[in-house]
Amino acid sequence: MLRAIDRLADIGAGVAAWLFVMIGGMITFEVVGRYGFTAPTIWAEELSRFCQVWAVYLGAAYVLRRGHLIRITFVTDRLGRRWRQAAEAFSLLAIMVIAAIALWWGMLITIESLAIGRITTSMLGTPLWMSEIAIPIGAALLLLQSLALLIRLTRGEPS
Amino acid sequence: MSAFAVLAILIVLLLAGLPVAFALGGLGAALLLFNDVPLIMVPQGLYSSIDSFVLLAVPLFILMSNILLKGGVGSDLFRAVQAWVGHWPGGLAVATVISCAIFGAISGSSVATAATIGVIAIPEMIKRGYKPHFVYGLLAAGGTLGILIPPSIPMIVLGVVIEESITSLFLAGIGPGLLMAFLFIGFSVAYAKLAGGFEAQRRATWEERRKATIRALPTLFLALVIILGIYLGVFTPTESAGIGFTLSLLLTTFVLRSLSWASLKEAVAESMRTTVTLMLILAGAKVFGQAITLMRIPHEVSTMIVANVDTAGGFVAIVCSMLLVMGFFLEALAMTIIMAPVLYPTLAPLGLDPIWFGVIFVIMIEAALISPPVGLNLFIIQAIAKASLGEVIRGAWPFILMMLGAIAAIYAWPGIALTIPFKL
Repeated sequence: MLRAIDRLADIGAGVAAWLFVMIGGMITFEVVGRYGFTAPTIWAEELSRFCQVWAVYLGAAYVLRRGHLIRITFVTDRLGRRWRQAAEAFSLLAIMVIAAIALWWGMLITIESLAIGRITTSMLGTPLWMSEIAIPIGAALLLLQSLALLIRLTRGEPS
Repeated sequence: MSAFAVLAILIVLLLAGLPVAFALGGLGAALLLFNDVPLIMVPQGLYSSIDSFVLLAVPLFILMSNILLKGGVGSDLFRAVQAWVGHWPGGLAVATVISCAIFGAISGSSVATAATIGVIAIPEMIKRGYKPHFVYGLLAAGGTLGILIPPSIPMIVLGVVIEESITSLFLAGIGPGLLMAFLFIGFSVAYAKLAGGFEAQRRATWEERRKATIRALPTLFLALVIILGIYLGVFTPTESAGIGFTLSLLLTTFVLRSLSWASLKEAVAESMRTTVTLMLILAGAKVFGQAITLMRIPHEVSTMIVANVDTAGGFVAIVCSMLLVMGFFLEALAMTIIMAPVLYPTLAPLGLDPIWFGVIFVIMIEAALISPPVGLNLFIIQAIAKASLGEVIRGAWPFILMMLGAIAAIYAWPGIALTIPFKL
């Protein structure tokens, strides 16, 4: 079960990584189109921003598990084992609360956008729920991942 | 609740080891709740902070740096510069600084610059008898030129946070970047003459110079496209990042043939980690920023500063000492994202130019990057050279003094920073 959660976060991270590469391709296409063929696109900027929102929130659970998130450790490094575990548990609980807030209210926004058919104010007019749903999905992955890490912490397993 | 109470809670959360992104976001959410603001602002902040065209430059510049690093362009560049200046006193050290400055014009990250040049320059210098601690300090500090010479990821972040033109910030970094490079070069020559003990290099022949330079030409071309593209207004920063990313990919796969599929995958995965980590802090800071703005905390802080500090010089001195102290325990970008919105409202009443102050801010970030115990550049050099952290730190401190000297110079002659963006 815990492995399945890790696997999910890994998939999210893999998608995120290549979304950033896609952004590079789209921006280049836009510049070349504009200068080379005086044909700017109407989609490159907007889709790039959407990809960025998806990529950041899909990657969040993975960077948490792999310990890449920036944190100040010089106090916790000097604590004894029990205190350090307590601090770690506190961090994970705090992250779960924040993820739960983002999940619940993020869902409300998405459902509302879907219900009233909100679209972007650009020429493309993309339905907003398509990018807004990245927040609750990313938050759900993060919630699961921090729960998995907390369970491992209480069992004394290495993460 | 006052500004001090909020700051105190934030510091406690950070010291407890809560990741910076979540300390900011969580405290922001709690403050919203206490002020009876609907929590729907949390996901809104998370969304709007990342849904930004300007910020797209961040992942693209990071991708470009990592691709060039994996593609090994650092050694081509270093060899070329070495062929020209290697026979000077302290020639290898001079070549290192110049290579860092040139790579700084491609890369927006100090860690990538230190790593790219360090991988090749450190063993070379040690082999020639340079004192290890000097070598480590030089590379850690030289790497920070990457964020002062445009493009620069901290400048993009700063520009987004304070809502100023990133292009102006980029251009304002050129003068101070060159000043700092000259300071480092002067120090290297003086150090080599005084300390001695290293093996001088013979002057390269013209044939050697020609060969080495040709190999580095694609890299120099890339640097020129990016700097001139931004300077002449052909590209926005985001567009130059996109073009730079594509060119670096073409360069390393087709021209230099130095990038394998496996190392491309590594570069892509590493870029994702760095980008997501950074963006999550920005997202958390957005929620925190919304909350403290509603509570009028930046306004409160700026009123307090203006009431107590009446000279521009006093303000800059206080801010710099504050950032220096914070730099000892807070990671550099996190420091920018937390402090900039609080400090910037004070500039207008004191009559300070925001772009000029931005450059000073970035130099303070550089100092934070090489000050213990959390300076990222110290760790990257330690990892590359497999050295002790203590030795890297011992080599780094003279460079912190030079950075403070550069700030004094830019304070006395603002034109060092402001001539290129506003007068040329």
